[in-house]
Amino acid sequence: MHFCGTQQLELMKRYTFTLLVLISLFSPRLFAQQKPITTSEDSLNNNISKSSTTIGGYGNAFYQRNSRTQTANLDLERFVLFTGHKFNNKISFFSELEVEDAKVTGGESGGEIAVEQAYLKFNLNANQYIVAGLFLPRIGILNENHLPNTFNGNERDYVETFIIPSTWRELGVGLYGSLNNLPINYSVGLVNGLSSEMFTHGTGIRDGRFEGRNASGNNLAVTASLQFYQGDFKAQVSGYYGGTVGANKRKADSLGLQSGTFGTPVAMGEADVQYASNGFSVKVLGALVSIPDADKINRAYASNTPKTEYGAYAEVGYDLLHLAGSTKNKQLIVFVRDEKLNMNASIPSNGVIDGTLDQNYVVAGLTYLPIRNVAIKGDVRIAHTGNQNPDLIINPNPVAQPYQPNYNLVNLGIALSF
Amino acid sequence: MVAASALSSCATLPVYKTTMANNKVTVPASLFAQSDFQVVQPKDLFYNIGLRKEKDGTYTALLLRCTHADNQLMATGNGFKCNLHGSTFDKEGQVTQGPAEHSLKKYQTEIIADQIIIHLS
Repeated sequence: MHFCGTQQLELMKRYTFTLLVLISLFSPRLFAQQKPITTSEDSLNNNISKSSTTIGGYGNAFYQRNSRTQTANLDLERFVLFTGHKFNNKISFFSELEVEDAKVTGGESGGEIAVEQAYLKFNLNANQYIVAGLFLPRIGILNENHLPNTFNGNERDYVETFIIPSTWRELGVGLYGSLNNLPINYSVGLVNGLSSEMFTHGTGIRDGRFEGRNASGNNLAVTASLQFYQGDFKAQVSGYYGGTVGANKRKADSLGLQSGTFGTPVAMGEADVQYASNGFSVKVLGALVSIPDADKINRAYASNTPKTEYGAYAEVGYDLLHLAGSTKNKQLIVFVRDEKLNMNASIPSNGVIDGTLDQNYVVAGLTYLPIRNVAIKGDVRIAHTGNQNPDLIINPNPVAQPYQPNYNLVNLGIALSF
Repeated sequence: MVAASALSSCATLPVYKTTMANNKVTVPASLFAQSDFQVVQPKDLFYNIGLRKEKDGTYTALLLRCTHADNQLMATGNGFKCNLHGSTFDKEGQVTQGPAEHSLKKYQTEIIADQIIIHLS
């Protein structure tokens, strides 16, 4: 169809007008659905009561040289994206999505993609709130606050990796608050329990976590903590008590295990003190795990579960740039940390002692923060363990190299959060 | 000795509860007779306000809302902390540990007849 020039102009005007009308009718609805994603910078500018979505994250990567295996490797250990949405002053949603070791490929071991947190937060008032969903109970120091630029050393301390299995997240509800009349913060939580069926020799209770996936609901756990602040000191005590058998009574009885809410329990106690002032920082933490029915677990699953485990560490750090009177944003921390843990401090009568689980580490190094949220780290981990139990050697020398109880790891890496 | 030292750290406690009216919060100046810092808890605000008396007699009001993801801050012995990702702020509202990158929001204050008025707008 052919149009002359004037008719074409009229047609264009008509189409343009129609398009403008349509845009003006639908644009409010479109813009209302497409709320801007704000960075942490933008959240500053929001009115208190407006809803907002924020994005943040953290990550770390490092090189590690192992003197025992005479090998080195590099790994993007973690990349975590956190997304939060504030619906209104009373209700918010927070989440963390984690990728470990950079990628997950079907059919190959290594790597993990996991939801680290996903919970709703209901504010009761300015001092108290309830969380519901997948969250990290307040146990230890790292479990709640684990950004890699905020701790010394490329690796998380081993006490809070193997004794307190950080990051330890489970499904449930929690109440958090601060007292108005005393410098005390508290938390209580009710979450799903662990699975003793999944306990693995050599990793403590770590493999018994469900982490939000198909957790058994027959067995539950309670957690609680108290924090006390005074000046530059902070002290905390926390506890955990939970059942580890999700099977029904009939199946549990056939396995010789106690079922029910707190059947075949695990109990954990933790205490820590932190001090930071004038460039100095000190952290001391101790944790104890008790599995009173370890003999029954071993009879059911042959997992060589211990009766008790313990771990403790003490760390001292000093910011050399504080001494030099540098600006607040830059830090060069020299630190040393002594870690002691034993994942089979006592064993039941049907257990087998494993000297390699009696471990001591000294970690020393430097953490340089050119800005607060970025760290460049170098550290050496000097390791000493007990000897292997010959009864546990599957491939004896010369099939496998003899076990070396003394070795070291040299780590160089970067860490960030935003 | 522990109890006495614990009580000495209660100089900012108890929290002063009050209400909001016309986007303003009123706090009696007499609260600062013993201490130069007070946590104020306006009803229905869902965030506390940290109110500090300066050496020149003026008052600085800090919104105790983390500038990272808007979470409530709790008072520590030497500042404020966010439980969500671990950000900490000193008593002046400056960031001392991330991931927060910006200092706390400040509100304007004025003194009228021994009452400190905090303007929330």
